[in-house]
Amino acid sequence: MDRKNQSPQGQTAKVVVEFLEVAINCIVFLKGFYPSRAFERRRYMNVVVNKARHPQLANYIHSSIFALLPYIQKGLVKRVVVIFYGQDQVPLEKFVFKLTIGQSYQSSVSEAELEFALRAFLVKLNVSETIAKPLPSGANWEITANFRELPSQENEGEEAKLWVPTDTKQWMQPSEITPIKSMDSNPLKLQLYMEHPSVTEQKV
Amino acid sequence: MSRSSGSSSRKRGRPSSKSGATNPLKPPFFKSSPFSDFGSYMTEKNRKFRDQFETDASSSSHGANLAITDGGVSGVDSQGIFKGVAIFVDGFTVPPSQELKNYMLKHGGKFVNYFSRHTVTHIICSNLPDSKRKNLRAFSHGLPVVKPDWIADSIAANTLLSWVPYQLVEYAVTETSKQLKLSAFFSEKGISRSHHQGILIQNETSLSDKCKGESTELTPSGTDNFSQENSQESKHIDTNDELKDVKSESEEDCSTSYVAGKSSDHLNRPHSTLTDPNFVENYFKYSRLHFIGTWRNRYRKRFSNFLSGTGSKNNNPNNDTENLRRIVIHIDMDCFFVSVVIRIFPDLLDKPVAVCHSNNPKGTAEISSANYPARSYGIKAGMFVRDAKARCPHLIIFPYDFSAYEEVADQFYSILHKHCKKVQAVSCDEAFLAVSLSLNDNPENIAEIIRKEIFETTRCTASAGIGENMLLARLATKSAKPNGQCFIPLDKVNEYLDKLPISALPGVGYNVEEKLRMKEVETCGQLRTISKDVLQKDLGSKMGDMLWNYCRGIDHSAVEAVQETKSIGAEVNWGVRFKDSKDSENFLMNLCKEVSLRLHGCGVQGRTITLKVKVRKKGAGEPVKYMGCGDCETISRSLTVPGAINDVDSLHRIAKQTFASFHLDVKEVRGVGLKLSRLELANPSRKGIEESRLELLFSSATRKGKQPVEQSCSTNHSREDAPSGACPSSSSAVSQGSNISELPPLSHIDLDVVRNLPPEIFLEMNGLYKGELRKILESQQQEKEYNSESVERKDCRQQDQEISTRMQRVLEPSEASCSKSNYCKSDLMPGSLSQVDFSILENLPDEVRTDILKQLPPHRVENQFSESSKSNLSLGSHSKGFEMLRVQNCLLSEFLLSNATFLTPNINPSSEEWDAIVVNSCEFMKEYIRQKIESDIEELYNCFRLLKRLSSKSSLLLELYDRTLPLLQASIGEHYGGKIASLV
Repeated sequence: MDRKNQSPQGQTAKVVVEFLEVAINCIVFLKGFYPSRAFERRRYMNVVVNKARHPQLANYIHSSIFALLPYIQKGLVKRVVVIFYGQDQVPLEKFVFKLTIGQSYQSSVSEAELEFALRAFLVKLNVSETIAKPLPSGANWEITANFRELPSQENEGEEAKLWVPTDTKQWMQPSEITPIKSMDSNPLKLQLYMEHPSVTEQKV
Repeated sequence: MSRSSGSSSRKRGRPSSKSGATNPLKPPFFKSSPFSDFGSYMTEKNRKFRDQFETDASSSSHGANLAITDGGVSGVDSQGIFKGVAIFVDGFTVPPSQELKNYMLKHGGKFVNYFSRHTVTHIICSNLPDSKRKNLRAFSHGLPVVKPDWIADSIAANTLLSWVPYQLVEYAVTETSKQLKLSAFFSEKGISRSHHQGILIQNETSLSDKCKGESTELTPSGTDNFSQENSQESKHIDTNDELKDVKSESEEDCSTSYVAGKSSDHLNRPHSTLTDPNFVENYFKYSRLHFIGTWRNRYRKRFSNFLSGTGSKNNNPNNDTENLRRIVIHIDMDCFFVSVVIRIFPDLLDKPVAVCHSNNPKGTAEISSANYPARSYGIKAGMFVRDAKARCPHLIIFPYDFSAYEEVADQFYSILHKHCKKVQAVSCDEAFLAVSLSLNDNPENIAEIIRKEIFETTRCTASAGIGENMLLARLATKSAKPNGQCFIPLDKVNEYLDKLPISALPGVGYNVEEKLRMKEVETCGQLRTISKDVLQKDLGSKMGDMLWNYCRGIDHSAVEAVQETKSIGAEVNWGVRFKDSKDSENFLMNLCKEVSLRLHGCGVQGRTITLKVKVRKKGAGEPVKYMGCGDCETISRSLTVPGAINDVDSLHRIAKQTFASFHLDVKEVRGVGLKLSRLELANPSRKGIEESRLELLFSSATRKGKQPVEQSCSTNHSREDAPSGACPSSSSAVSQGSNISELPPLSHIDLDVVRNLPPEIFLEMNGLYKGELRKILESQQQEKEYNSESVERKDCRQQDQEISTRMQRVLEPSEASCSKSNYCKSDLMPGSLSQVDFSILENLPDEVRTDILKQLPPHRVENQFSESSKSNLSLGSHSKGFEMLRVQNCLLSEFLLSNATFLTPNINPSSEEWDAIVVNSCEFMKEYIRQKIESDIEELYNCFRLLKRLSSKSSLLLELYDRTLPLLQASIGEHYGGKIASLV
């Protein structure tokens, strides 16, 4: 873990990244994509969460999210999306973390406050099972990130190269959005919502 | 004049009150004499002097006997103008004491060598040593101390002049300088002195018996306080007077003493605001003007059945005006106040009599009425008693007898109403009658009948003037007086007016008279030569017009039975002396009680309260009139309140506040008057509304104490209180507070609110807190200025919010009434000033207004919504929700959730009001969406889900939901590329 970066954005970004890792673990568990045995109960921010035990899975989530850290610090990352596909690579469900880290505001919210706010996400996430749609067999999932601008490859380090452009198909119709949790603070603004294809899209 | 006596007098040394000082030298020469002791020696000596004096007098007073012929049956030796006067000369005088002695010899007076308060009536001296001056009473024993000029002048005038003007100057000065502490002055000694004076002035003995007879005659009647007092007092004097010649009891003395007696019981009362807790009450009890002033109400009550116009027999309901002519009769009782009092003393009819509070012959009480014999001495109403006595020493003075006045006035009016339907009461003794007569009737007959009946019933005379209009009737009365009547027929009008001095016209006062005199106009005849235009130019249009008419005998005013009372009040200009503000407060309280009583008596309430204060003019000394107001400046201020009041508390508070606003030194106050005008009938139901309003204000006031955030709410409340008036005038606040005895503690007051209150309300509050409020504010102000630099930045946002909430009110003044469901968009600030309603803006406190004006353009341009600005959600004047949103910084959804039960207004969906609410709410919602869409769709989602759920209960919320959902979805689509699920 990179703990050297002590700037407010760095601090916040680090917290966010940690949070995202845990949250994605939870989402995956929530979706029942893997058997529940593959997860273990952990305590994070004093909330019971499930963490993947399988090293590959854990590593995938961890590495991909931590690869985002520099971009998040710079405020380049607009969204972090967990997409579940059906067999035809058409997204069936998206968990969107829309995040904005203010760059100008220097004084950061204290870590405790931030944790408190983020914990609410986890709590809410844990009870959002009902909103989620059951996945068909043969489904897949991936973590994607939407950038505000394309990062210049040259300047980035090794971790950044882990990220590749995605070829995820887009929905033709506007999606249906179900907000789960939002927080609005300085410097971090974070929203979590789910997207589903609209009814008409599904019929098509 | 005997030389020998002169020299002998000198040998004995100057007479002195300490005469014993020279005597110890004497006894050795009289060792063999029959005097056993010093006392018997002195008695013998005095006797010898008296004998010598009397032999001298009998030999020297023949000339005087020839000169003086009036005076009753009395001894030869005691004849003359100084009969009954016994002087004692103290110290050096000009003329010397020996000469004074000779004057006394010649004119029937006595000269006493050794002072004794039983034999001496006057002390004569030219000057006094300081110690005696300071302790005058010990020296004079209550006897008058007079300058020798008195004797000389009396002889020159060949009559006994009043000694009052001849008092030793120092004496008078001492008295006035002690004026404030004079309550002791009115006790026994004062009476005894005035008593003595009475004796001295009398010169008719024959009447004394009659007078006594009358007083005993009166005693059995018993019911009359007046006569009882009279007789008791006479008795009292009789017993006290064993040392005096019984003959000296005269009518004069008698009357004096009972007046003194009368005054003793009311003068024994502490005598100014300083000492008398019930001063106001007593003041009005003894006030003649008050009697006249309140008489009208009595009259109205008593004769209401006549006034309502049920006709009397004499009135001809015939409308056939051709055979009728209207005549106005003006009836005025002759010197009412006197003739009523003396109606039971027929003997006094041709004696000079006056009515006055006090009979103290050197007093400054004002004569209120004098009969015609007295007037022939030049005595007029308004004159001081001492001046009147100087002109006419045997003037008899009576005190007021208000019950008799009432009785006579009632009789008087009964007669008038019996003869005529249309009676306009001018005063208790004066009225206009409008009579319709057939052409051949002589109007004098009816006047004759009325006058005769009045005399028979009341034993008082009345004069009548008859004319075509009120003016002529009134003028005719003047020529008719006393006890006569005068008719000015139409063809004699010009003749009559030609010679009439303009000052006789009603409404012509000193100023007008002076102005016209400059134009050499003194009579109405001359006035007639001046054109109306010129008159109007010189005297003002109204006055000019009036005069032009009057000098031609034209008067359009009609005899009206009932005249509206325009104002009710009470004023005290006598005896007002305050030591400190506590005194003045007490006094105001009592005055307010009096006014309140009068208002209640008339069943009215007033809206305009006028406080008038007389303040001693700078440099003016103590007034000539004892305890009078003297030379004063008059300040007055009035305050109009929206709700009429008549209760003591409100009056007192307003009066106190107004009084405080004068910033006077209470020691300089010489008179206070309180008056209510804009009267309206007291109506209990109205009162209820008023009170509930008050409660409203007050409850908001207490709330504002607890929660500063509510500021705008409570100010809004106060504005609501006076919805019609442009100004939230102090009155509502004022009258409101009045009913609430408990004030919130000072620490609970939100100073921001206070600062923004209108000045009147602030003054009022400040008064309630005894000025503490202002102090606190001032200190805070300084602090604020000190801090303002640093705070400015922080405050900016806060201010924004405040402004916008206030602006909310500016823009939607009606919103308050439908507040419950009204979501006010926080940022309804118009884009430019042109969209602001200035009439509302103007009514805002200055500070707020400038803030708004300052904030207006940038506020709109930035259009920036911060996290905290969501607390701007002002929900109308739904203070609870509003407060909650602001304080807890909570979300609309939470508000909706917690207030779900409140959000169901009872408003007709078709009404304009409803439309307005919907529009406002939608605006608010849209703004909220715009604000939240970037950062918090969860909140929006919750809001709309709640709205959707609640819309089943409230058509308003349904409407709101329907109208705003498209925007939400569009916004979501724009920002998130989708739609909110489950809301479609």
